[in-house]
Amino acid sequence: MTDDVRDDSTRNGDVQINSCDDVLSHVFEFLDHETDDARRAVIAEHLEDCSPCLRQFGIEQEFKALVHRRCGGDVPPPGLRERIKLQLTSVSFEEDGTQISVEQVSIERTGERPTA
Amino acid sequence: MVSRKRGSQRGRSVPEEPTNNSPVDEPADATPAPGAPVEVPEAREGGSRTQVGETRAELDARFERDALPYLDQLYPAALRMTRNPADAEDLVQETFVKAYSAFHQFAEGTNLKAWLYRILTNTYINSYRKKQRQPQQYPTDQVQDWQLYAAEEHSSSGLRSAEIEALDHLPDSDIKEALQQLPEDFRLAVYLADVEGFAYKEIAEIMGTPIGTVMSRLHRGRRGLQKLLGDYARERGFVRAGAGEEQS
Repeated sequence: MTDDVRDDSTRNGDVQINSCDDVLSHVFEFLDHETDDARRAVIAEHLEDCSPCLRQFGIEQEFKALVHRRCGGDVPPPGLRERIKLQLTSVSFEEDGTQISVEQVSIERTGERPTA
Repeated sequence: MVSRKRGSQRGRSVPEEPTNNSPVDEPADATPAPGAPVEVPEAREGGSRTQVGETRAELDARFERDALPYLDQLYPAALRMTRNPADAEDLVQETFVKAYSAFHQFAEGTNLKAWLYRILTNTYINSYRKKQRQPQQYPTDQVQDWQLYAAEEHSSSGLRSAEIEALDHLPDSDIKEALQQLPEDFRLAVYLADVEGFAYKEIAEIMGTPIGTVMSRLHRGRRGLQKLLGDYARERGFVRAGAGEEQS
């Protein structure tokens, strides 16, 4: 048993979960694994007996997975990594190693010059 | 199944939802303290400064080994922020220059990925957002606050089974476009949580806001995205009229 009182008032253990509405209002925290163990257990128990809530949780989980699969993964343009490395060579450090200055380099996006 | 037990760890990414091929094993959850956005956050907290006396060549090698692989993750994030490839490329370059400039202070045990994202976010806010605030960008499509409120009012229980199945048929371009129509704070919260799998605490640190704000942005962002995508799916005929149990 955890008596987990969080400093964040929206997530402390005081909130009672009595109804389907209560359970559904915590769907995101649950799926994001941000509920404390005690609340997680209460919600999981409810889901075992309540198929409408379980179905809704399943839909929300599918939606999360959809966003995860489809909203990222754009491939960086070819040569960007090399251009970044080139630009880093223009960063200069002061003696004490804390101050830096960066030369203003303008790297043409079109002219790719793979410099080692 | 959704009834997974959660381990006792806190402030970590969701273990069951791997991030985009994270190239580096992430250190524990020691991240810089939240607060007002600073250009390059202190990287020393949670670790000791072990890189004293490091040569430039050693620094370069360490940066290339540890930080540069995150390019593959930072670029799509930058693209979602700036909404165009040229600005995304500039933003990522600037981010890496700033990270490199502060990297000699970076200590083992600090959450490098979250640190890089924080620099990316701050750089975007400080350098790019203002010049992108052209009102003609999405004159009619831009989701307004009232629309998000409306979405919450009318579908507080979220999507329906027929709708979520239909969304899978939408092309990636629709889904990305819908995300990019969300107001920036919501868009970023959803991206960081669902694409990158950051914990609320990490998102709070990256965005410089309290956790409660992160939760509210996530809630409204996801509901807004569901509303938009539901509309797309209906426009494309992927959802039968009436399948959603309510008519518009």
